[in-house]
Amino acid sequence: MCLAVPIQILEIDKNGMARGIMQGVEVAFSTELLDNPAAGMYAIVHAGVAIELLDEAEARKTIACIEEALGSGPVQKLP
Amino acid sequence: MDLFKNFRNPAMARKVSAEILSCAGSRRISIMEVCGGQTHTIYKYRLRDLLPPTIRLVSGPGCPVCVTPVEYIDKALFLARNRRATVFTFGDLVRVPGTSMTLEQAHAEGADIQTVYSPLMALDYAKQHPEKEVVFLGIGFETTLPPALLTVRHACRDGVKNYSLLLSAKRVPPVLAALLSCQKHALDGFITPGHVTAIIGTAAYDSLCETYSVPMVTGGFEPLDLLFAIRRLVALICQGRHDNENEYRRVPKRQGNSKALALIDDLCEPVDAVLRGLGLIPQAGYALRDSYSRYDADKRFAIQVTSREPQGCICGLILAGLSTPPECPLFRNICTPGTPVGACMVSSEGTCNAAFLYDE
Amino acid sequence: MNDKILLGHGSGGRLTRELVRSLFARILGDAGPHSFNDGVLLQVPGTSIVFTTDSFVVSPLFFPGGDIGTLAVCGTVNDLAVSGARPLYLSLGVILEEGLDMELLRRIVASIALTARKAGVRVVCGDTKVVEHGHGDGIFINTAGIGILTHACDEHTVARGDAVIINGTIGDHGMSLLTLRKGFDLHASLSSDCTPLYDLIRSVTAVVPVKWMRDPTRGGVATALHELCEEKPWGIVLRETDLPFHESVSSLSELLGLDPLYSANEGKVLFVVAPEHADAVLALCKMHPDGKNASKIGIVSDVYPGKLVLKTAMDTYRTLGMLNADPLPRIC
Repeated sequence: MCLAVPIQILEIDKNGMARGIMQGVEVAFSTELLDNPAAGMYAIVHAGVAIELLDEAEARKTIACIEEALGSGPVQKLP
Repeated sequence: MDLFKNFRNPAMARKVSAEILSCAGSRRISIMEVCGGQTHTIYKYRLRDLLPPTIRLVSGPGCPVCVTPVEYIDKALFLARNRRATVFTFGDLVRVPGTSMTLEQAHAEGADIQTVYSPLMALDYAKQHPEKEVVFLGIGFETTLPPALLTVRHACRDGVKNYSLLLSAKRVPPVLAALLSCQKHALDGFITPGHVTAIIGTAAYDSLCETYSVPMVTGGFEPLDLLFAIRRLVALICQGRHDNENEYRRVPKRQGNSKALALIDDLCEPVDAVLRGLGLIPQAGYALRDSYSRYDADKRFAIQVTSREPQGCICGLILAGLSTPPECPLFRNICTPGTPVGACMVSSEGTCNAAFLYDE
Repeated sequence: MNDKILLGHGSGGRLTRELVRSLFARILGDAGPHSFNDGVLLQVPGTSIVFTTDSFVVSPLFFPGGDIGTLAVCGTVNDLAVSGARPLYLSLGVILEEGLDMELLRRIVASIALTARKAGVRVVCGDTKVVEHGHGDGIFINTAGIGILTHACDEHTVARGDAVIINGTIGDHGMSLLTLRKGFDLHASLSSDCTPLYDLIRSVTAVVPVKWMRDPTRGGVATALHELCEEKPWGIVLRETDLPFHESVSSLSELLGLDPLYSANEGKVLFVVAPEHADAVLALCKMHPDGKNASKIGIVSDVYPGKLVLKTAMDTYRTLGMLNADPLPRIC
């Protein structure tokens, strides 16, 4: 459904409200639904609430796969 | 780590597109996605142009605005106009037609209707204005439900007496079951919604794949995420397999978000629900439990409405993937983004709206 | 047409156009305008004068990069500048709400003075009215402007291959104001781009024959270019990868699900020039403080007559439609 974007956590207060940053924009959101969130991690935020933490290892793996795929052979431009 | 640009690489898109073509050959395949956000990406980047014409990508009932019944809008209008409540809503709901008007038109006539990015702001307002009755319009699927429910939990915790939720939350797996049990469907596979799945977990689709022998792959929201999901689905379909897999591994997990699921279970119970255009679907919605009825706008206010669905609108068939917008008699003449009849035309994820704005 | 005025009627999109044409123009009839351009060219014996008017109802009154006073001057002088005129004189009509803080009014008028001097214009006449408390949003301003034609543009000379150039980042004003609205707990280090443009524009038109210019205010770059292409035998293709955006504008677009191509700009000008002049225009812009991020964003094409098309980052092509009313932030 859902417009949710990865935002890097800057700090979290004692009530679980976090301040995060995404390319120059500061966003406030709740981290109450996350397991052990910490500053530096990326939270996936929807409607002011973080619904999951980004799995950075998986993200890097996928990006590496893309880079490898592009490095290996010419790509035909489609008509 | 750029989480946007890396997933918008056109050279990679061409590669994946070629792989999809070589796998599918001339086989006719129909794939449905059930997520407004994914519909939006498909139209924004014209992903259909990167697929062979033999692969049909169908947009299903994944736009929460589109499946909100007329009656819900009428109830919201009743609360704002007859009960003088301050009604908070997500932006995309304000132009959905109720029986006689939209929330935007009610606002023009003086009703106190405000748009917010987060339900938490509605609760903040209620705390700052204890003299007003504040209602949040909680529509959405399982991604949007936890944020709405958090406000009820906080209201409870902080003793807020003037806040309630008008809930119209839907559940994706029962909707998929309803689509699959309809004999007329011609769908070979599903892209499951990445962020709903982050809440409910990929395991939620196991029994559907098994019961209906259809493969499902969880997809993300960037163009490459969707192309990867389609590539995997096409491979599974061509191999005759009905596995349940995840191509958006950086976010949803197999078991989902346990805290969010506990919150949902604590405050809500599954109920039968009406989806606009599709009718009553068993167990496809959530209602607040009786112990939270003081925060349930349906129970808190004596809401009286008489609602009427618009005539001639075939949003239901379109949402089920059985018709396309050009096949609707109202499309482009009576029903346009400026004068929408059905909800599919209002929301920018709505199939009809996207078709109107983005198609030649 | 609706039986009540909606906020969308002020968005600069389809609803606004319908109101202007089906109500104002239709009822004014032969006592009304012949066309709907930003500025009208009036022939006065011996000279050509450009005349325009604009009203300002912005809320909040003060924002990073300016205030309603700055806008009131820039909006009108820029309409004159993109009509090919050197702005000379402004009128200033204000409607004040009873109870408005005098200090706020002083600050706004000081902004008007500062911006007028920067733009090289004088405020030569005005009017002041006061409405009861609750019947106005603090202050509403109207400015009308007069300029003298220095460079005549003719959109009918636009042809296949022409370059579309903008002097800087897109959507700054609209997006920066969005973060100040209630209902969004977002903070961006983003300012309005509000600035008078005659100086930049003249530095270009003095050297290069410009075929068409527009300041993409309400409705954004997409609406301005869409209006240019409509019913023409050619269209415009923009390249998504060539569109300049401030980093925060890109983020806000992702966060709220809004398209910055439809967000207002108050310090930007779109130029359409023959292809052999594109490099010169870019160089001239970049020499000016208001043109550092100038970019060639598209070309005129006969493949898509009457349409504005975007070549997306995925190398696919998508039509950019006309804005209906102000876009709604999405949840999905």
